[in-house]
Amino acid sequence: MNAIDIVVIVVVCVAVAGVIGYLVYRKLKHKSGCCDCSSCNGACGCCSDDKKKNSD
Amino acid sequence: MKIFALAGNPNCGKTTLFNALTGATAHVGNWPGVTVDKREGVYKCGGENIKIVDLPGIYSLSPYTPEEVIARNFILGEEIDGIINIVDATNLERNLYLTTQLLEMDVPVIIALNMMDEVEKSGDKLNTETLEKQLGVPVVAVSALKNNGIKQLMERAATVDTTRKGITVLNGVLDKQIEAACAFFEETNVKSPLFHAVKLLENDEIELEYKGAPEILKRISAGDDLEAVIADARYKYISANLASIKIKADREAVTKSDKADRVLTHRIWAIPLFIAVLFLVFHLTFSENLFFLNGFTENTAWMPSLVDCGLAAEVDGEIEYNNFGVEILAVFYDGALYSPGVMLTNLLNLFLDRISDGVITLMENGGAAEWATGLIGDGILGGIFAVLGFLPQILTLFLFFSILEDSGYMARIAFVLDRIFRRFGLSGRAFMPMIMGFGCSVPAAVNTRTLSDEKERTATLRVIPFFSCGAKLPILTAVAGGIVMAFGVGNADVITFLMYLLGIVTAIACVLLMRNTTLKGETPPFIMELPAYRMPGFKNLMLHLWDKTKHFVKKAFTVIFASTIIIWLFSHLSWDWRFLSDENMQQSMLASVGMFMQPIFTPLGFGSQLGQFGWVFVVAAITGLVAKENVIATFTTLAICISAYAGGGTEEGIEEIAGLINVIMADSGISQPEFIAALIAFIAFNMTTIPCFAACATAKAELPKGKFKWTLLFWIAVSYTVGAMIYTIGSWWWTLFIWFVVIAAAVVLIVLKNLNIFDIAEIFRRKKKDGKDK
Repeated sequence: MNAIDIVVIVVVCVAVAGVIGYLVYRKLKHKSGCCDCSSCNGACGCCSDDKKKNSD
Repeated sequence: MKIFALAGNPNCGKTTLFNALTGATAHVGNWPGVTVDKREGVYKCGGENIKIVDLPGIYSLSPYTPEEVIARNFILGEEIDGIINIVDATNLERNLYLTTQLLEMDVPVIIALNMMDEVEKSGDKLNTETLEKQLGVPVVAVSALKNNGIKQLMERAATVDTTRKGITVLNGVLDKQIEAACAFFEETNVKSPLFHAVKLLENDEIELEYKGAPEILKRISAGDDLEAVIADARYKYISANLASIKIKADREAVTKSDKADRVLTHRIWAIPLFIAVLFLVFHLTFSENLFFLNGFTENTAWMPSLVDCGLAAEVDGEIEYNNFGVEILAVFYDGALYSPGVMLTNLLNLFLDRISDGVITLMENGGAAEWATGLIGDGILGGIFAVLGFLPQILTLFLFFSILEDSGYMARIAFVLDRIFRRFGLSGRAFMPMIMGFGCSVPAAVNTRTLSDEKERTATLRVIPFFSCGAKLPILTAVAGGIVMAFGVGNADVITFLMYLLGIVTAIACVLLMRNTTLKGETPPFIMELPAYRMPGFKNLMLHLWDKTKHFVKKAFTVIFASTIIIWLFSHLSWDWRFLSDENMQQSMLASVGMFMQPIFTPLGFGSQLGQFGWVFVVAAITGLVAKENVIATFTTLAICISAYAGGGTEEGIEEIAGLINVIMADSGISQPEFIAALIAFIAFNMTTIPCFAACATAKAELPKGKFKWTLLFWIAVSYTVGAMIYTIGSWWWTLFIWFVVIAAAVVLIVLKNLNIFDIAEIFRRKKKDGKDK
């Protein structure tokens, strides 16, 4: 295994960990069903929570 | 912080004003009922911030719809500092009806007379001072779209009279009754007693819940229908006072809008015109032969390709361009002029391919192991770039739909389709969430809240996924493109358009079935205001496209990224955890699971008959449950590996699909017509099957209790049946008659059941009872 292979493993693992962390964060913030597309005008449950938070 | 609520009729420009005040990016459509729930933001004004709450569009404060209940409860229940009542200046009579109700509340009110730019354009004049004197509240002329008058509006809102008490325009109509009802509510110490009093006289069900209210109403009204009297009185007041406010300019009796409507809502031509408009939209997005300039078939093609012109050469089945300039030219033209959607896709793929090739070359030159190059090149970059490559076409399609929506044309289509929808048991209002389904099923499902009838809502929710969302677009385009490339038959844009139509036809058939069996019921009436035609705002369109882009790219680099790594990993690991090269992929865990499940899809054409590589279809369809973009990402990741060693084609762009098609044809011996039918069935299956997890979660939240599991079963049954029909009829044309007999038998049973002549379920129940008795 050379340096590039190690770099690939490290980068991919960090990226995957980051993605999993982001998805878990979205789940905890009740945004897992949210598409962030704003097409619902905030009617989706996740959008309402998010907007309330921002306006406080 | 002060709180102001924005209240007004649907389509009066509330959300546009909200955007102008708060800077939030909200979708501004031209249909009533786009805003379903309240939204909040902050207006920053010097030192003081003001909280702005955008209430749903309502015509009155009576509790006939959920939106009216939400708005009313918020205004009465929350401690707000005032209401900004947005009134559409081009339609005063209808808009002021709500105003007369808002004035009865003990809440400061300021009127924003919106769309003044359109009033000025039409040559009319509005006397705002007179209106202010008559109503007793500040009136400010604004144009939310042009950002005029906003600052003046908020300056006056900040200094509005906070001690304001409600007044009624019903003076001299029901004075004694109002006084008596008022006295009742004053004793209960409720806020805005005048508002509650008038509502009670209107037989309002919320007011009737107060203890003693029904008795008071009975005594006061003496059995008369005061609701009609009050409504009539309000409109009489508005008409009597409107004459002095609005000065109409001389204009032609028939406006341009009316002339356009004569054509676009024509009794006979409206639908064919709509289909033509839809086809044009798809043609401009997907066509590789713009406006069929190069003829309709290969035999009639006359435009030279870049190879014919000597600007490129064909080497081992691959096109090699003489230089980068020719490659750029090939983005726009190569044997035919491409549509804007295809041009943008080619441009993006040009750069994505360079990035992909660059990374792989760098890794190979750096001595990276085969697995590392495979993971990064085939797995991650192959999967993500395959999906990202469709972003231009998704945005192009989305742009056209947004233009049709914002211009007011879609509202006309909802009106025209109401007549047809009614035959299937739906109202034209159901068209709106369906058309939103072309963008994404999640907001479309939320939008079904505008349907008040529960059965109509359930039926609409179930068929929304059949209107292929943006995420399914790569499946349609890639597989259609693969068919054209591998077999040289058809046009990709025509196949894509026909598949979208198939989704619509399937939806109609399913609604017809549901509304005649498990979801029988009356079709609710459909009343809708046709908004004036207007040029879509460029800024709103671009903001909306930007939102869509952000969402798509975020999804590609999170969910798709994780999925492609998992797919690549499990397609290169055996059950005893040995790493497998591409040549040995058939022994991998993923291949084993796929091959195990392959026979289930044999009736649909992409099962056992596709031989040893058919499992790729199965795995791709299953990963689509997480996100539909995954179908093509998975396909590409696996197809690159298989095609490379099995010699099926190149490894670049959409050609992976064509490459895999060639490999499977050679390996399984399946005939061309049968394989084409199988591929179309694969598209149809993915279009109609269980949508992504996000859409499922939203559907579950919106459906009545207990309906979700039946909905899942419904989606599985429909996708399986549609896929099987397409494959069998496409492969053996005579099976059309068998399907016809089956469908006819089902229709006859349903009709007989509805006529109470024949109930198969009842027969089984009786047999069970007879069996028990014996």
